[in-house]
Order: sequence, then C-alpha cells, then structure tokens
Amino acid sequence: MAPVMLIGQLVKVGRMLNRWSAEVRFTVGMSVILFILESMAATDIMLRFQRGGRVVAWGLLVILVGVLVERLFRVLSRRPSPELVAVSVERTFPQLDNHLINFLLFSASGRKDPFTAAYLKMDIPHWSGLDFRAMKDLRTLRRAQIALGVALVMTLVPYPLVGQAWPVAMGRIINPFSNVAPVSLTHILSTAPGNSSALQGGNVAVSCQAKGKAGHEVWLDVRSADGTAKTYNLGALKGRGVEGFSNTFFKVTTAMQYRFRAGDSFSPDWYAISLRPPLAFTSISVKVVPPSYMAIPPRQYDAQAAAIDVPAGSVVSFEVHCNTPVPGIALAGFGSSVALSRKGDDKVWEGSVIVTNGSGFVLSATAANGDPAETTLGYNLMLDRPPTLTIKYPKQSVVLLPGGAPSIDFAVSDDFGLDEITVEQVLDSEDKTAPATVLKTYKWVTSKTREYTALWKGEIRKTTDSGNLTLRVVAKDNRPGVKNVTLSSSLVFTLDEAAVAAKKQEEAAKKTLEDLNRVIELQRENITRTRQLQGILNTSAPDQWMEAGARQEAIRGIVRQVMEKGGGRSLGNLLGTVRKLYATEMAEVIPALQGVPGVKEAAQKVKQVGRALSMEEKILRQLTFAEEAAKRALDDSKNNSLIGILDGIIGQQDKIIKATGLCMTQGMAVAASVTADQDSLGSEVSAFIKACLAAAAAGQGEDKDNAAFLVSIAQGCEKDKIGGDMLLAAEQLEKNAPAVAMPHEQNAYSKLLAVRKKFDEATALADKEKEMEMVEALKEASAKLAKLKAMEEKLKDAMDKVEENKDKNSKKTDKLEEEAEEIKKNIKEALQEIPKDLDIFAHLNVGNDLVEDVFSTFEEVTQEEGSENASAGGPVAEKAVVKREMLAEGMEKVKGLLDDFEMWLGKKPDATKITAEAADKQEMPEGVALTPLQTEMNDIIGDLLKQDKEEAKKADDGAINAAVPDLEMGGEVKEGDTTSFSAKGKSGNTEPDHKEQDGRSNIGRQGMANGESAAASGTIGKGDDNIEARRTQDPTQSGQVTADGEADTKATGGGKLGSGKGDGWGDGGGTTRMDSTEKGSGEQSLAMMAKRADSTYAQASMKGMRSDSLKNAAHHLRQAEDAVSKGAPIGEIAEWKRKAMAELKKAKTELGEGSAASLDGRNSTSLVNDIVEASPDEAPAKYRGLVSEYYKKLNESL
Amino acid sequence: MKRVNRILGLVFGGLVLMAVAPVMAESNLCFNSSFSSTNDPFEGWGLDYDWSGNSKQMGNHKNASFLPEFKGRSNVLKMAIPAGYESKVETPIMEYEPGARYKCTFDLYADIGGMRVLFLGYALAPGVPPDDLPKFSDLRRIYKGDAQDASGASWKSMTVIFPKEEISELAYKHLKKVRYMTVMMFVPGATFGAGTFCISNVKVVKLPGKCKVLKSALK
Repeated sequence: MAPVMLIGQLVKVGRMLNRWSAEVRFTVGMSVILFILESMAATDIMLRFQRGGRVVAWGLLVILVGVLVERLFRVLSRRPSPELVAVSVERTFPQLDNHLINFLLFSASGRKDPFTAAYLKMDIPHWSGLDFRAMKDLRTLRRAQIALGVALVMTLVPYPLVGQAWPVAMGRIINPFSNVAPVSLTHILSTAPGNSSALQGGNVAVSCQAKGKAGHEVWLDVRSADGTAKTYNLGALKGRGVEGFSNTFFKVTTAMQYRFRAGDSFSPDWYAISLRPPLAFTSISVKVVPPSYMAIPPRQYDAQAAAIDVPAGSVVSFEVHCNTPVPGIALAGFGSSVALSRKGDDKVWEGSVIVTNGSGFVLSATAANGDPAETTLGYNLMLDRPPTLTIKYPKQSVVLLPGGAPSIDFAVSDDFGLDEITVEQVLDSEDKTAPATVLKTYKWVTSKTREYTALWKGEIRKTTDSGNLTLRVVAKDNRPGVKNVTLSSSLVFTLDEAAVAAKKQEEAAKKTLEDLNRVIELQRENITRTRQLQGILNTSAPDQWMEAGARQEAIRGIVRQVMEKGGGRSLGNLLGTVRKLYATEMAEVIPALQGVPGVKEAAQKVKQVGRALSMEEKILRQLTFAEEAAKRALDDSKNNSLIGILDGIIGQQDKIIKATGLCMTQGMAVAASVTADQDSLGSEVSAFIKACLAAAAAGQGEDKDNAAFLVSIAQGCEKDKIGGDMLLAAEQLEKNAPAVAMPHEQNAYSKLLAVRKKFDEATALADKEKEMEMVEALKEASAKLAKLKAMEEKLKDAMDKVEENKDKNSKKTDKLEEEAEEIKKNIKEALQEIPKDLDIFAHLNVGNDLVEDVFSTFEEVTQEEGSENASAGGPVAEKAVVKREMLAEGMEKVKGLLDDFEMWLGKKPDATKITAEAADKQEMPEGVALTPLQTEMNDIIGDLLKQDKEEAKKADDGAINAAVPDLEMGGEVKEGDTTSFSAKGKSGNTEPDHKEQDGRSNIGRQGMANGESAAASGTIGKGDDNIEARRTQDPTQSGQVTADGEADTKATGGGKLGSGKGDGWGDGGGTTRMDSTEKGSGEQSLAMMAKRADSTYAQASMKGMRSDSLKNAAHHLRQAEDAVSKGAPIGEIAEWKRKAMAELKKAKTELGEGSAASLDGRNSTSLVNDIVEASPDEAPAKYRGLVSEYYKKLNESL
Repeated sequence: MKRVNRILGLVFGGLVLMAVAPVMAESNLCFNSSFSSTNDPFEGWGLDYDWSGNSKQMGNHKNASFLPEFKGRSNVLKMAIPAGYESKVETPIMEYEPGARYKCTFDLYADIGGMRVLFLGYALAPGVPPDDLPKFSDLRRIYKGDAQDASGASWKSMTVIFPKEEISELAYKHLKKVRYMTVMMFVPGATFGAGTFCISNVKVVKLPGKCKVLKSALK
C-alpha cells in the first residue's frame, strides 16, 4: 500500500472521529442548556423574576450556547495528523501490532535502506478488514443521549403539574424582553395614571383594574421622595370579572412612586409621580407713558409690588415672565382685551395697551398641562378732570353803583394744565349755553400752568347803565381734542341807582334788626317759660318741654335766616360769634330741653334743666350783643354807598385829568369819549347830590346828626358848583381846548377830595368816640376792682370779728354776721357789674389763642443760716464767662424738646455775679430756632429766700445775648449763665435778676420781663417790684396769665396779660418777640406782617366791618413765623403762608366791600355751610410740595 | 438685797415700757415697707417711671434689686445708678391727712454722694377720678418737703419730716390740695457718676399735732 493512500484513509478516519466527538459534545451541551433553562423556568415560577433576573438567566443560556457552538466548531475544524489518527487506530485495533505506526514513520523518514523499503512494500496486516466504527465512543454518546432525553422529557414533565405557567416561564427566560407576565390566579390588568406628574399641592388619584380569584386582596405600595413608604390595603377581589381599585392622595407636596399588587399577581414595576409647581407669573413689569400734554414723565413699575398710577390715555406696556412655558397670555380689564405676544421663549410675553378707563388689569394664562393662572393688577386711573373754578368774589349778587367797576376774584386750577380762561358777559343768567361776549381772555400757549388766580376788573359803570350785568368765568384745560370746560355760576351785578341800593340795604338791615328783636323776644319768653317749668319740674308734662324745645328750634331757624341774608354782613363783627352760637348752644339746647322728661333721676333732671337754662341765657346774651352789633353795622355803613359813589366820581375825574394832560403835552386832539365822560360825570355829581339828600331824608328820624351832615355835603357840592366846573371843562374839551379845560377839571377834582375828606373826618370822629368809651369803661372796671379789693379786706376783718365773738355775745355776733353778709352781697353785685360793663366791648373779639397746662409745685426750703447777708454768706463772688461760640451756633438748631432731670430749689440766695462775654452781632444767627412748647409745664415755686437788697443787686448777672433753643434742665433752680427759649424755667425762690429779659418764660415772678410768656394760666409769684415795664399797646400777644392774687401783674411786659381774676392788670407783651427780631430775618418780616394784620383788624373792628379774615391772616402768619423758628419743612411754612395769603385776599375783598360800591342785594346760603366746612384743612403730606408750588406762583402773581 | 434689785428691775422695766409703748403703738403707714410682700418684694413701690415718657427715667425699675441680706441689714432694696442716670425710688402712695405731719425713718447705704431724700405731696391729675388706689401716673406733684442730703458708704439712719411745723401761706395754698404723699430717694443723674444706694427698714408714722400757717408778707 502506498503511504499516500494510507494517509488519505487515516485523514478520513480522523474526520470521522471528529464528527463523533462533536456529536457527543452537542448532545451533552444541549442537555446542560436544557437543564439550566428548565431550572431557570422553575425558578421563575417560584420567584417571578424581574426583567433583570430574566436577562441574567437568558444571558447565562446564551453564554452556554455560545460555548457549545464554539466547542463544536473547534472539534469539527480540527485536522488531526495521520500519526495521531494511526495511534488512535492502533489503540482501538491492537492486532495491527504497530505496523501502521511503523509504516507511517518509515515512509515519512525517507530512508532508502532495504529494510525500510521492504517494510514499506509489505501490506499492513489486518488493515483492510478493519471496521472503524469500533472507534466510536458509543458509551459516552449513549449517556449523553440519555441526558438529552431526560432534559427533553423534563421540558414536558412540569406542564401537567403547573400548566401554562411552565411554557410561559420558559418563554420569559428564553425571551426576557417580552412583557409576558407570569401566569397567576389574579391579574392586574391596568394601572393609572402610570408615570405621571401632578400639580404641587394638588390631589393625585391612582387606580388599577384587576381580575382574579375571589378573596385575593389588592394593595397599593407608595414610596415618597422623602423616604417614607406605606402600603394601603384597597380591599379584596370578589371574583366577578374585572374590578377597579383606586386611592387619592390629597395635597401632594413630594414626588412619589407607587404600584399595585393583587393576590398572587406578579408585582408590577413602580410608577413615578413627579410634582410640578403651579403656573405663576414670576414678574410683571409695567411701564406707564402718560400723554405728552400731561407733562408727566414715564414711570416703570414692578406691578406685583407697587400701586400703579395711570393717567388717563397713557400707553401701558407689559412684560410678563412665567415660571413655565405657556401657549399665550391674555390681558383684560381696562375696557378691552388683548393677547400678549411672545418675547423669546414661551415664558416671556409682552404687549402694550392704551388705558382710558377701568381700575385693574387682569392677566390670565393656561399652561399646556391645563394649569391656569390669573392675576389682577389694580391701578389708580388719574382722570383729566375739568378745571376747578373758585369764585372768591362776588359770592352773591352785588349792587354796582355808578363809578364802580365790576370785579371778579377767581382762582382756577387744573390737574394737568390750563389752556384758556375767559370772562364773559351773558344776556341770560340762567342759560349757560347762551351766546356770550368775551370781555377778557387769559390764554396759555406753551406754559404748563396748572393754577391761576386773578382779580379781574371791568369797565366802570356809567350813570346811565341799568338793569343787571351778568358775567361768568369759563375755564378750559389743555386736554387735546375735546377740552374739559368749567363754567362758573352767573355772577350778577345789579345796576341799581344809588338811592335804590341804599334803600335796599337799609331795608335789609332793618329787617335783620326786626328779626333779631323778634328772636330776642322769643328767647326771653322761652327762658321765662323754662323757668316756670323748672318750678314745677315734678309735675310738668313732657309736651311742655317738647314745646320749649320747638321754640328753640324756631329761634335757631330765624337766626339761620339772619345769617344767610346778605352773607350775614348785617351782623357786623358778631357774625363769627353768632355762627358759633348757631352751631353749638343753639343746637344743643333743643335736645337738652326735650330730653328733660326722659331723665329719671331727680337730681340729674334738675342738673339738665339748669344746663338748658344756662345755654338759653347765653343765647339771649349773645343775641343781644348781635343786635347791638347789627345796629352798629347799620350805623357804620350808612354812608358807605355815598362814599362809594364819590370814590367812583373821584377816580373817573382823575382819569379825565390824566387824559387831558396827555392831550396838552402831546398836542393831540381831545377824544370825543373824554368829553362825553366829563359831561357824564357832571350828571353823576348831580346824582350824588340827590342821593345825599335822599339818604338824609330817609335817616332824618333816627340819626339827625348824620342827616344834617349829608344835607351839608349836598349843599356844599351845589355851592361849590362841582357839576358846573365839570360842564365848563366838558365844553372846553369839546372845543379841543384841553389847556382851558384843565383848570376846571382840577377845581372839580380838589372839591371832590374835600368832600371825601369830610366823610373821613366824620368816620374818624365816631371811631375816636368809641375808643374813648372803651378806655373809660376799662378805667371804671379797674376802679371797681380796687373797690372790691377794699371790700374784700373789710369782709375778711368782719369774718375775723365774727370768729372772735362767736362764743361771747350772740347779738353782736348776729349783727356782725349780717354786716358780713351785706358786704358779700355788695361784692357779688359789684363783680357782676364788671363783666356787664366790659361786655359792651364783646364785639371787639380780639384774644389769645395759646393754651398751656401749667401747674406749680411748692417746695419747702430751709434757708442756710446767715446766707441772707454778706457778712455771713461772704462777699458776692464774681464769675466771668468767655463767650460761648457754640451757643450762637446752637441757636439755629433744634434737637427737639429735651427731657429734664429732677430740679429743686436752693437753700441760699444767689451770691454770684456772672458776666458772660457777649457774642458778636456778626456771629449771631439770622433767626432762633424754637422748640415746640411743652403741653404740660411743672413750675416750682417756694417762699422767697431772704437776701440783703444790696447783695441781691450786686449779684445781678450781666445780660446775655446768646442762648440755645433748649437746655437739659436739672438740679438746683437758679439764674445761670445761659438761657433758652424752651420756657422751662422755674419761678424758684429768689427774686428775678434785673437782666432777665430773654427767652420765653412761663409765668415766673412779678417783674420778670422775659421775651414771651408761654403760659395761658398760672400763678405769678412775688418778685422784683422795681423792674421796668416794657409796655406795648398791642394786646393780642399770646401768654395770658390768670393770676391768683399773690402778686401784682404790673411790669410784666414779657407777654403776661393779667386776667380779670387777678388783682391788677398786666401789660401786653408786644407783637415782636425778643427771639425773632434780628433785622432782615424772615421771621421779622412775618412778625411785622402779623402786627400789621392785627392793627388793621383792630381798626376794622372799630369801624364795625366784618374782617375776621384779618385775624385769621395774623394767626397764620404767626404760625408761619413759628414754623420758620422751629426749622419746619419748607412745605409747612409755605402752607401757613398760603393760608395767610388767602385770608389777606379775602380780607381785602371784605374791606373793599365795606367802603366801596358793593352792597348786598340777595340772599346767600354759603355762610351756614361754612360753619361745617370752616375747619382748617391742611393738605396731605404728599401734596404739600404741589400746594406750596402753587402758592408760590400765587404769591408771585399778587 | 435681791428683793431690792428685783423691785428696781421691775420699776426700770416699767419705765422703759412706758417710754417705748407710744412708739410701739405707732403704726407704720407705709405699705410693704420691709419689702416682704409675697407677690412682689417691690409691690406698691414707685420704681417704674416709663409711663412718664421721660427718657431720663426710662428703665429705672431695671436698676432695682432685692437683697435678703446686705451688710447686716435684711430685706434691702438696692438701686444701681448708671453714670448720668437719675435713679429714684418712691415709697408706696400713702394718703395724706390735710394739715397733718409725718415722719419717715429708714436706713440708707449710699456709695455715692449727693443723694436727696424728701416727702412729695400729690394731688390727682386733672381728669382722674378719686380712687382708693391711684397709680403714680394718676398723680400730679404739687408739694415737695424739705429735702435731706445723704451720702457715705455705710448704713445711716435717715429721717425726713413733712411738712415743716410752720409753713407760709403760699405753702399752705399748695398743701391744702395735697391728697397723697410718698417719700422719694434719688440720685441726681445730671451731676454724679455711677454707684449704688440701698434702703431698708422704712417706716412712716404720723406725728402729733398739725402744721401752723404763718402770716405771709405777700400781698
């Protein structure tokens, strides 16, 4: 056999061996895989693998299969060498006896020896009969096949036992990615909402559908994000098909996971519920751009934090940021609705609208998941209101006499600016739309004027004019397009003849007097009836008290009419008093009377009747004064109309003279109107003469002196031929001869002035008489008080005697007691007489306004022995103090009122003379800042320490010219080397030093002449009798002191004004204060203005004119002065000045009415309203700046 | 001899008893004078002046402390005096009988100079109705007795009397309005530095007789 053939056969055998080996390995591998698969499936049935477990198991199987394949491949691809196969064959077939091996080796060695060749030529014994199948390892193969068979059987065996669960488990392991659930008796079919999100703080409902064996329970497992876990039992299955189970979690605030379990069902995966915040607007930025005509700068707002002011017509832009994307945002609430547009992502939106009405923007949005969000942004819509028009004069219809010119005092304000103001004359006073003639136009072109005040004056009324002159003021604002317009009411000037006007006035005044007479009578009657009822208090019927109350109501009604007629002018200066009476006692007495029957307790009833009677008596008393004032007002104004006519003629003549003079100097022709005016003026002089005679005739019965005076005036005018001079002048003017006309004109003018002077002299005489009356009455009162003092002494003696004789002689005692009673009675009567005497000046209602609560503490002091004289107390020490510059600096500064320590009186008198170096005048501040006064002041007073007069004089300190607004008081009360204006000084127990003329004091001792007394009441202690008085004539300064008689109030110039309760009369303190008189200071000018207003007020009062405004003006000026001193904000000072200015303007009009050509003609209801509305109305702080700016302008316009 | 001694002893004892008896009979008008109230050792005492609104007296009560024992005295009120501060103490309010005279004795320890001790006379403040137990804030000071100065860092017995035996008409005008009284001890803060003062054994008694009013030279 050739070696090649042999080798070929061996290769075939080798391949056959490989196949057999692969067969065995495959069988074994498959068996193993099947066993593992089955065991995994069995485990899944028992443990119910999650997907992870299934994947692991599947992975293991895949690895095994992979290994098996690799092995098979390796075996099949193996190429065993012929030698190796030969060895295997030799091992299986021993009969070959190594021939096969040898053959191969000899043939491969290539040896050519004969032995080898011979061996190779030999056949291999038994080779051809070999059955190679004997080489197959049948035993192993069989075992493997058995194992495989078992494994295959095992794939079927469990089925009858576990049923469908076995193939399902096998499938779940073979395909771990399938969702096939293990087979169970109970199944959860579905779970809702699965993985989801919920609104933070909202509710979450979870549910499942389950089907299965009855009795199997259903559970809900929950794991919240904060780590807590809980299981809820949702109930048991009933075995009736598909059943639902659910649970709701309320107000969920954390994320969570959940799953349902039911009976033996496979536990499903956990589901997650995440939380989402509610949709919200994280920021809303609003920009308001007002219309340009308003001149308000644009403003940016954080709309969620600040209130938005939106002037009407503004463009409002929005930029809204959301916390989550939204598909859109709607903006509504301003009368319309718009959708905002996207800016960048879906979280930022913007838009703008024009706002003309509404009160709030409503922003609304809905997120993609349905969460809604809505917010309302309120805004203040600032409407462009029509101008506010205030007519200060005339308040009611006025009579315009020839020579007088109509005037209108008005103020207009508008929130965003004025465009035009016109003064118009209308024909029909009722119809506001009637065509009108424009008399004056105030026009603004570029100015942004918001407030304007003016006093318009028209043409002088001619004698020939008659009927009514109806005017109105029309104000338009600067709103573009249709302007806001405000029309005043019709302002009627009645063009009556002088005689008619005078008559009307007289009639009105007489009617007032009649009404007052009637009301006084009624009041007297009611007092009498009330007294009667008081006498039968227990038996009086309720109706009787109701009747008394009704009468009081009627009285009040009449008084109201009196006040309303002609604006109450006929009441003269007592108008204010009557208004107060009307609002207080007259109103209070009605329920007081009608409520008497309702009072149950007898004592209370008596008290109430007493109170009602007291009020009735006060009403009667005040009404009596009012009647007196009305008479005076009538008396004082009797010639006003004639003076008004005369003033008009004088004014016109002056104009004609000026016009004539101009013609003379310029060589111009005389205008015809000048001639006509001069001619007409002659007629007016004739009318004036007639009016004088008519007035004289009318007053003949009541005031013969005045009638005679008027007749003399008329006769004088005729005698002087004033009218004739005017006619001559007119003739010359007509001839265009101004130089010839001029002397006639000037003659007439000088004669007219002479006539006017006569009226002034007559008025002055009457005023002087009144002043004399007042001084006389005061003197009498003073004398009566002196008498009373003497009587009091007498009474005291009499009482002492009574006391001494009490147990001795009863008759004598009785007599003494009678005597004492008599003296008491006399004193009482005399005391009652004094106020009665002084009450005649009740219409001069000047007074003090400052009120302070001052109380004194007495302190016992044991004087140090020997301290009263020099020998024991030692010589008076002198102490020099250098000037304290910080004091001068401190004068202007106020830190507020400082708190004080305990203070006490010293045990020895002042024995130190302090001389402080004066501060240079140049170093002195412009003004002194004043602290507010304390509302409560504790004075300390003690018995005067004894001191040698000479020593006291030596110890007087030097004057000081620097001080501070306030000192921190504490320790011993004594004269120091500093002073303050806080009015905290104590009266103490030593006489005041002569130099005490500074600061503000409270009350102190007699003789203290401090700058201003701050107290309204208190005790004046004994002091220095010899100090000079600082007398002034103005009694209106604050600091009235109610002395209790311990010391005279003489020489207390520093503002102490002793009252009627004291034993003497003090002197007025003067208007200018020691602390505010630096030249050129603002305070000084204010103080001067206040003084002038006071002075004018006093003069006007004496003349019977209504001029309360002057008093108010002075008051406000002082408030402004104080505000400056206190270093108050400029707005506050401006406010007071504004008030003062308003009052001064009012006063100007009032006083103008008194002597000029305006007379009351119709009724007005404004004054009664004023009773309620007259309270001071300070502007709110936020408007102060605006108000002050307004009045600054007003100030400039005056 | 023993008998004589016993008799002498009895006689002496009787005399002592007679001398002491009136004093013993005097009742202490000051409520909680020994700071022994179980509610509050300072019950009734005037320590809190916050109601006055005066910044110089704010927090005065915070300076007060109660010491059961202090340098040989028991039940002691100790007041701290911060520098520049005005520490003050007032006894509980006592009713004043018009014209009557009173004496206050107490032990004082002060390690600071310039203390002042005096009676204060009060009337009701305007608008305050009469009340059995008015508060300090209801009263208005209208009279101050003659003040005693005190200092020295050791216990001293102090006596103040109110009012003087003879008073002026001016004084009487105020005195006749006095309805209540207290005794005040204070250190003027405006003048002195920091320190403390203590008081103990306070006793207020009424003296026999009434004060006399001198004719004044005043007009």
